[in-house]
Amino acid sequence: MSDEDNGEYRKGHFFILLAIGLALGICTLDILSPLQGAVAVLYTSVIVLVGLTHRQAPIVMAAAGCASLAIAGYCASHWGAPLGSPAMRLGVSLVALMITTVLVLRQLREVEERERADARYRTIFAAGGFPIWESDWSGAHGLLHKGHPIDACTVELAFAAAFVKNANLAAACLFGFERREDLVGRSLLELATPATSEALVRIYEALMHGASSVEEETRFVSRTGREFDILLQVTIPPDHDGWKRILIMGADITERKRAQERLAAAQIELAHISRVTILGELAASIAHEVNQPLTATITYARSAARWLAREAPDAHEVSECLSAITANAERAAQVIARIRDLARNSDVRHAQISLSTLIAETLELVQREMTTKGVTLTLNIESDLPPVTGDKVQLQQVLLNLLINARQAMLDTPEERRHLTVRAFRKAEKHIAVEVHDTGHGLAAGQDNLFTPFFTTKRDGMGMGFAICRTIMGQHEGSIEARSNAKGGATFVFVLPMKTDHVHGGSEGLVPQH
Amino acid sequence: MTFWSDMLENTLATVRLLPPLVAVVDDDAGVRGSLDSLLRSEGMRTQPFASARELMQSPLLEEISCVVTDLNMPETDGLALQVWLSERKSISPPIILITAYPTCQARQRALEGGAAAFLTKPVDPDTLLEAIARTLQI
Repeated sequence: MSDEDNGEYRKGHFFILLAIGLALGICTLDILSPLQGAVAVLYTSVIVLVGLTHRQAPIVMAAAGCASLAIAGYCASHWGAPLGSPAMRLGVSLVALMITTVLVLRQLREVEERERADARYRTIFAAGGFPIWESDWSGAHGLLHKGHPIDACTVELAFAAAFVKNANLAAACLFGFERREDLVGRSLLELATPATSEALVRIYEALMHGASSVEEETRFVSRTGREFDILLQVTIPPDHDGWKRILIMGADITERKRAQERLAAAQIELAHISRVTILGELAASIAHEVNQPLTATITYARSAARWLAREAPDAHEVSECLSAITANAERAAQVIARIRDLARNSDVRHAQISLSTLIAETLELVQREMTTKGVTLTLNIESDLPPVTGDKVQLQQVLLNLLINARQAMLDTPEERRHLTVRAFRKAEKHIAVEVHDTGHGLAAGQDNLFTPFFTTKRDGMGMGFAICRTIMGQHEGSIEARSNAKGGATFVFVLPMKTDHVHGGSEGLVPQH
Repeated sequence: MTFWSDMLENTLATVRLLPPLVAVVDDDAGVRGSLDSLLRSEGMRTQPFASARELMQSPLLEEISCVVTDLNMPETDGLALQVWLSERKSISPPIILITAYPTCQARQRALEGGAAAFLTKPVDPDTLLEAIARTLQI
């Protein structure tokens, strides 16, 4: 039993003794006094007094005792007398006594209920696994309501004036303390990072604009030196009394942020693998692209040597050979440069991109592959298409994926019916759609999950191609979808937002979210 | 009459001395041009064609002594050209196939169809010239 409880107990005893004295006094008054009034009504004060013990049994006993005393008093004074006004007064007194008892008992129950609720919340607060603390921000309240501007200086002053009033163990642990008492009474200023001040500016601004709850992500450094990311939920309770009680909950999101960073890195890696896979599929085409100019270069060089070795060397022919060698070597270098771009593993870059150029360049990569498979290509690009913003290599990857998929889908189609149409056109007000239309086997029913990872209909497919296309589109604020054509085959469409005019340098908002 | 007989003698000599005409068929301008230059440097007469169809429709067809063709071309490829040449009524010229994708099937079909050589890109110029020289001596 704690000291506090012990004190309560003793106070209860004192009240009971006082009440007994009072009751005896009233009884004496009732019997001896010549007053013709309902003295017994005064017993209600005894009940109220006992009520201060906050215990039910003494109240009930006091009520019973008082009723007995009132009846005894009546008997003592009026025994044998006919029933009249004294009996009436006794009745009133007893009813008053009863009502008082009921009221006191009810109030007692309410108090108990409130105490239980308080205890419950205290338990939740103290035992909750998530960090939660109560701070006194009255200093900040004073500063800000005096009209100080919300700047770094004010925030520092306000933050220094704030201190933790109460905290649970999880909060203490989060900040690197072993006991909650170590955190209570402190200012968190000493654990702040530059990010904390920035977050506080935003929190103060929101609160000054009348918000009663603010959520902000920020970063603290614990007493042990560990930097951690935290999601703060700052709540002003209705009875805050000038920000004296601010409830703050914090979730340690360091792991989540690390995971997000790892996920972004994995996505970049996966996109790279997918590009390399595409390159693998294009290998024959690429080999041909490089082989042709190489063959030409070698042959021209030998040929030049022969023209020189003739009895009458032909300078004109040699010169022709040399310029042809340069031209063909440059052609090979260009092919290599295109492939190198595609094979590069890099973060998303943002540039202004002309979709018509992108389509033309991508088709160049697959042209050979298409013609050798007997696929007829039709290009239909709306004139004056505005540019889009994004990563050229990634967008090219999406288109390549769709083109290669279309070609593979048409392998079972008779050659004379292998048609591939690429269209680019304005869609709605601010978007550009690129459509790849094939005459292949189309989409089978139940291919709704086409764009989910590891979905594949190919025996040797990894099932990442379309998933990566969708990820790339998501990063570009675009979308991609597929549908079956009425006359067979499938159409894949991706839609990208046009570059908006107010963007400077074309680098807005496409960074993967961390 | 000696004048005319001399003229006839001379003309026949010229025709006989005229180097053989070799057709070069490749859809790639770079490769086509380089083969053309190589053969001419060796003193041959050449006629480049950008596609098999161009050759089929050429008025020089009967004059051609040897065909050097790429295998992988859009529309009519080298093997199809070989078949077309061998199915004509007149004597078909020897054919040399060049390819960047030397598959076993293609090689077999080419050689069974009577191809004089089946070479892989990038072609070694000496090997090609030797192969052409062999076909012309026959």
